[in-house]
Amino acid sequence: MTRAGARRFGARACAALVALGLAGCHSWVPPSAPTDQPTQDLLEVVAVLRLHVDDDTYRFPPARDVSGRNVYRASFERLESLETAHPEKLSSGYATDVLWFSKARALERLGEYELATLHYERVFQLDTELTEPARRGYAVCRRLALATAPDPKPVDRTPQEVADRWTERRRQLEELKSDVAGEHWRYVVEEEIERGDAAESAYFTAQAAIDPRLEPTALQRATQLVEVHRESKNKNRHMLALADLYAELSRRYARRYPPASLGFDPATFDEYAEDATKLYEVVAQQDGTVEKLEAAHKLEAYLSYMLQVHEEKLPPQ
Amino acid sequence: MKRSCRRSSAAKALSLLACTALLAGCAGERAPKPAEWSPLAPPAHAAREPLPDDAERSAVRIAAAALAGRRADAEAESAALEREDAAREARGEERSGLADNAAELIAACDGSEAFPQDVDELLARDDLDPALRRRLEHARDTTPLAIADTRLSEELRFKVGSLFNRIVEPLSTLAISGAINPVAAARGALSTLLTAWSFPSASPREREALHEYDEWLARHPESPDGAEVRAEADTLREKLARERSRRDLRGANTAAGRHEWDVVEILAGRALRQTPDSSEAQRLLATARSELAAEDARAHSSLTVRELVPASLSPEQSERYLALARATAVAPPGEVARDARLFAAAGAPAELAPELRLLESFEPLGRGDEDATAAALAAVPGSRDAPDTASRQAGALLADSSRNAWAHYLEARSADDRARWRWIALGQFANGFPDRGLWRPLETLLDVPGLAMTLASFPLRMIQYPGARSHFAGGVVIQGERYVARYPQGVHAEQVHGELEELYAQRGYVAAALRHAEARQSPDAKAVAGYRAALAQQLVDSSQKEKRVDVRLAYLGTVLREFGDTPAAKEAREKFHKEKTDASPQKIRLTHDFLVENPALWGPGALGIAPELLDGKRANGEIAERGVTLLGKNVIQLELEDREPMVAHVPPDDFARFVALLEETSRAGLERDEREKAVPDAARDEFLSDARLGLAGADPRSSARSEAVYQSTHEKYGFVHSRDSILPVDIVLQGDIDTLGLAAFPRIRMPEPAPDELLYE
Repeated sequence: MTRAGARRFGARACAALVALGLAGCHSWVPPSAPTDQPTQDLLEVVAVLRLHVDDDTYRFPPARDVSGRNVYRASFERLESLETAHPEKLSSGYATDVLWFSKARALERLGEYELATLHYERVFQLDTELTEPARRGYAVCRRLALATAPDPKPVDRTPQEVADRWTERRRQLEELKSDVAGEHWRYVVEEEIERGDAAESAYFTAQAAIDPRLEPTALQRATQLVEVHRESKNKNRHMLALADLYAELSRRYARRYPPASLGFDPATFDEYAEDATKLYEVVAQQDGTVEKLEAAHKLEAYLSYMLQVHEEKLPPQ
Repeated sequence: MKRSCRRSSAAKALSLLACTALLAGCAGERAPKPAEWSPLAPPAHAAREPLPDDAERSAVRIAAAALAGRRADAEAESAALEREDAAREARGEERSGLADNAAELIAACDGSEAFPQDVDELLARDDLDPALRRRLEHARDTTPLAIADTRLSEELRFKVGSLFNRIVEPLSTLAISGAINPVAAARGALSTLLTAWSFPSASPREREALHEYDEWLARHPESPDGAEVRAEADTLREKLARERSRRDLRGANTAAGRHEWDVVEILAGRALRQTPDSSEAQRLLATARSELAAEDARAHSSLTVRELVPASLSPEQSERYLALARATAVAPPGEVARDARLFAAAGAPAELAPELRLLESFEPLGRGDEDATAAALAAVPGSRDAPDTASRQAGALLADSSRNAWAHYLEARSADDRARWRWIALGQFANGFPDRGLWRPLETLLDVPGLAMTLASFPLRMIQYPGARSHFAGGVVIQGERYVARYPQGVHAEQVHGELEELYAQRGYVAAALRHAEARQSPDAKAVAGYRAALAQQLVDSSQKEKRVDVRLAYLGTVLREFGDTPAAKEAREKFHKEKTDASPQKIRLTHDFLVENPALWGPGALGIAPELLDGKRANGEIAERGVTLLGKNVIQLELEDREPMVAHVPPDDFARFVALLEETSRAGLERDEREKAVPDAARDEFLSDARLGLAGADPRSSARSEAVYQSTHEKYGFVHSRDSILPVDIVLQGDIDTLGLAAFPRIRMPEPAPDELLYE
């Protein structure tokens, strides 16, 4: 221990002793309502939502409210509840703009751009102080909705056509990202780009199961997802997906060439297996993350599988 | 003139001296011997095998009859072989040595199911060669019933041995040292009781026995012994179900204590499936379901809103309230806070006060002032007796370990301080008395003597503390990383980076320490250089632990690229160069002594190495200790004493024969010597398998390269063959300075864990 460290430890030790001495004294704890009580009124809902509008939900997980739920989803539910409970008052126009505007803000964070667009549209038709911000929200959500619209004919397309669609989607979103650079939507757009990349990777992973020629593409897309989104809150999830793909490719190889057969090439199997285990190990070492547990158990399961293959592929000598 | 002549002759003398010295030096290094110029002997065929005699022809006919399923023919041929052996004996010649193999072949005619029944008969023969005997004993000992019996007897030995070993030690101490230390004796007796208490009721050995019984029943459904085996299997199965249920219930009770009702539901449900009449499992399941339903109801309630706007507002206040709500939705945080303050000052109703204070806390948030935001949020609950919902929103924000990372970091630091003090004061009891599943007061009573000794050894832990420091502060590291991730430019970032750097350095995580050292506002150049040097050295060391050459090169390349200015770079450069120059598709090595032990491998028709190189005389050239390396295809490298290594091409047919002999040698070693274990190496097996067929190529993939080493018996196990004692006990002499106790006692040797025990845990 360095001298500075020793001094700090000593100081903290004294503080700890004082704290221990005071522990017996009754201290006043601010009263707080139980989590199951209803929220007070509209202003409280809007205040909580406003606190999280600027959150970077691309790098960090969305905040949770008092009930432990996603704060955007919980706020949306509460606003819906208000709308259902007070239809007369709201139909008079009182606070309608605030309620719809807040719902739109919550919806855009939940990926419901089409619905958010409708809510923004209703707000700017009311012509209140929220009209201009609603117009801006409408424009952004409209572009988001168009860029992320599902493919109407996904089954009919070749892998190349699908890849081209994803590229076009990414181009539109990158353009939007530069347009909203200083606003809270940039995180929404970044999330959407990531979601698209993950979906494209998942598409090729699934296709590779049918057509082995697509295996290199699937690996390339999954690796790219890890590399491009290394700042994302989902980076461990992407690494797990890549590890799963390597593990699946090794399993597929062992099915195609059973380990005891003469066609089985240990080096090919080991190349897949080594990459899978290394990636699982990396995630399993990420302290303080939920994926750590999943990776540790997947690693254990995969090692058991490898044990079986190694036992079968080894001649008794 | 004379002077110049003298100078000239002096110069000549000097030159002559230098030449003499040079020649003398050269004479010290002997000239290469013929075998060193040409290490492979001229191509020669292996000595021709003699033609098969009558006994060998008989053996082949027995094998053919056995393979074709003609048992009678095989038996007739076997009788002929016996007659041939008898005739040889009568002539005073050696027996053929094939009769035992013939008997095994005939036994094999009935298939693998019936083979174990014939094994005892075969083992009764006195003409079995050792390798065959070992194989037959292995066959006998690996039948399902034999394994089950072995595991159950091991389990019994384990239980008896555990109790005996625990009893005999304190008894011996009492007998030899008298009643000097009754405390130690009493603790020994208690630990015996605890051992007996904590024996698992369905141990991995018993579970393996159950599996083997089931396996046997599946293979022999009609056997007359079936009923007995089935009864034993059912007893074990019932025991296992009870044990599983007990474990699940224990887990469910623990989860219930933590109010994790979803876990309770799963575990209690599982226990109930194992033991359907368990009332405890039924009760826990019902409680879990009702608690989960209540949780759902509470969650639903929390998602509702009491009123749109407070009913107590006047029309004017109502308009103001609405304006504030609009501002809250879109205005910058500073403006929201200002409007809230103005509304409060203008006489907003008391019930709105917490909400307005929540909005006022937006002001430091807008400025990005972390500490002031936390303080403002902490001030939202303003009343002593009126719980309000806005306060809980502030509480949720404060409880967020990422958003309110600094407060959580401080809390983690305090918790770490407390944990360290607890450990120094209480040692192993820092987290309370261990839970052995006994009645709690009894547990406490059992641990009181231990606690007293632990408290007394407090100074020892003070001495141990610097070394144990790295075992603490896991939570501080996690929370610190959260802080710098969320607030890279935060007001406390400098402090957090400094502390994390220190913590990581203590744990030996140099890369992380370097990351934080470099992230500081004014990085300490000396510390950074130290971390860089240590990290580079770690990379070089790690590279040597990697099996694959491409990974090793990647590590070394990283050092050269990123840490070229560190002392480790020189070593990395040398290793990188060596890896590159020594690169070969294969690296399977046979040591000098292994070759000497197995001359057939290097004789004519195999590697064909000149015999002088392995005759132990260095004067005529000798292969060095490292031996011969197979580089890929049929290329080998010979390491010679005092010479540079030489590369040679073995004729393909000879190489294939050499590989076959090498595999045969390994297999024979495994059959002959119980210490030999099959070492898994798929790349080696693949290469040898291809080489035997004359197909060995030079696969450039690093994953296809093997670095297997074949060593002689004494290189692996030494010159003395140690044998296990046939006695089931060890004699132990034991002295203890702390208690001044002396003891001498026998200790029952515990059974080794079964090789596949992990499959039954």
